[in-house]
Amino acid sequence: MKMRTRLGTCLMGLILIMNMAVTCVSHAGDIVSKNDYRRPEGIPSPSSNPLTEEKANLGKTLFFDTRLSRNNSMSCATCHAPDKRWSDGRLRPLGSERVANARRTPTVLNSAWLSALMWDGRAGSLEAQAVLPITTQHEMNFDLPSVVARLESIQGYRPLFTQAFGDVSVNKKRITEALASFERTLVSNTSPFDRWVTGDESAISERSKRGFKLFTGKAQCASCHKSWRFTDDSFHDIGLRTDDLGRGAKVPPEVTLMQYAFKTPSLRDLPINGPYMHDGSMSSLEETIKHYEKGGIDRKSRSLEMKPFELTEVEMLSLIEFVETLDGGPLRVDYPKMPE
Amino acid sequence: MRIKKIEDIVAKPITGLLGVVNTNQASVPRLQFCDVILIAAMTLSVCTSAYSATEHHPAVHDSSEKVYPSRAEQGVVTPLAPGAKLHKMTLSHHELEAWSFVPKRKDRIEIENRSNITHALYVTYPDGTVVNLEIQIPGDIVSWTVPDDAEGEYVFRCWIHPVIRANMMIDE
Repeated sequence: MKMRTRLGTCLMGLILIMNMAVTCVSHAGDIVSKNDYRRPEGIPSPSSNPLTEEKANLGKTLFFDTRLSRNNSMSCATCHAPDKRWSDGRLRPLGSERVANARRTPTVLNSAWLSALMWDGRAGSLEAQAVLPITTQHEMNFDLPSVVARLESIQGYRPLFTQAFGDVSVNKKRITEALASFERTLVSNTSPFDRWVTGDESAISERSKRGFKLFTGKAQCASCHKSWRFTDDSFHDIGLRTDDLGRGAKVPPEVTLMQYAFKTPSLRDLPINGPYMHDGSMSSLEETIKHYEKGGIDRKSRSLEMKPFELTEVEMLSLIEFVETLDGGPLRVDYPKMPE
Repeated sequence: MRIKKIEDIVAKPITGLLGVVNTNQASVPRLQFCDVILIAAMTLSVCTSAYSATEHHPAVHDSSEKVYPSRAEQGVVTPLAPGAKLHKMTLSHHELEAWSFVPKRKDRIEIENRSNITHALYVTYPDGTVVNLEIQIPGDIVSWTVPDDAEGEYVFRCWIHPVIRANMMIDE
């Protein structure tokens, strides 16, 4: 009888353990490990615009050419400057006619992997996005037919278009495909974090490793800053004080969660003193983390991933040190000679 | 990895407990192996429940409960049309998992959010009509009923996560 009871107890225990193991495994599916942040092998490009060196070369020249703006004062690189981590370092960008923009300039680094572009996701591809700054009034303030006419008049562009597309013809499709192709080649350098992910334990400090643990655990940063680019390419209201509806202005109003929602920015190659957030309202990583600790403004649209937490001072430093390991340094750029 | 962590946490107090028991055999009965297993299992159970309550259980998202209608209000409990079938799909993290059923007009498709993040799916009809499937917190199920006159490609996407995309063909 005693034996039977013991056997029964043992069996019950084992069943419970097995049950718990199954539950944990299903939870484990959502647990983030450093392997989830491994860099991809190649650069993706759509079948409609396969990446070629010739298209990227043409795109690079166009990217740095101020003649793509109405008053010849502004190129894509004015706001996406190589020495400013392909952003502009400003709280808010200034357009070609010195008109202030409402949102901070996002980096174009690693944009080959984006599934939705712009802070509100209104562009579905790099090709679609490339048109927007050129034609937007508060940016380059031009129109595509005029851009095409201007480029057609520049003899030096003819060989570049021919190499890229087979003939000298200039049109909107070719301009945007070339610009998108160049942008796809802008990929972050290998950072200390990447070296750690691939097995070099000495690549980052022990404090950074503790920071990574906080990043994927207690601080829950990994809820949104995931994948090797540290973004989920998704949209969240993080409780900032703003009148800008963000993606909320682009989707049906009943999708409450998208009001005041902006795209999760990548954390790679961050400028160390910001500005951060869609409106450039924060200037240090500490300030940013403190915002997440408190959770921001509690409103109907606030992301359900925003769950307040508390870090000690040491933990805060560890988390910041970890984020700094995502910096692979500036890309080396050979500036193109402008065609005449 | 998480299982290992939980086991580590659990193992220490149990070892300690055994030590205490061993030194006081006269007053406290000695724990047998089966007892230890049962205690470990119960402790694991408590640990995992606590984890669920803080991070995964839909009930903790009170803001969502305040804002969004219940599943019943969304029409999930409406009886199926005569002859219609109920199909199930799964949303795992940033992906709608592949399905093997063949949807027909009037069929109902239930989609369960098995990820630990919130989604807001919508269906775009061949004529451009957009139908929202409501906000879907982890563990929640939303449903879409194939229209009576459906024909062509219906695209499932998420407002929050544009990377989620699934195309469903309806042939009648």
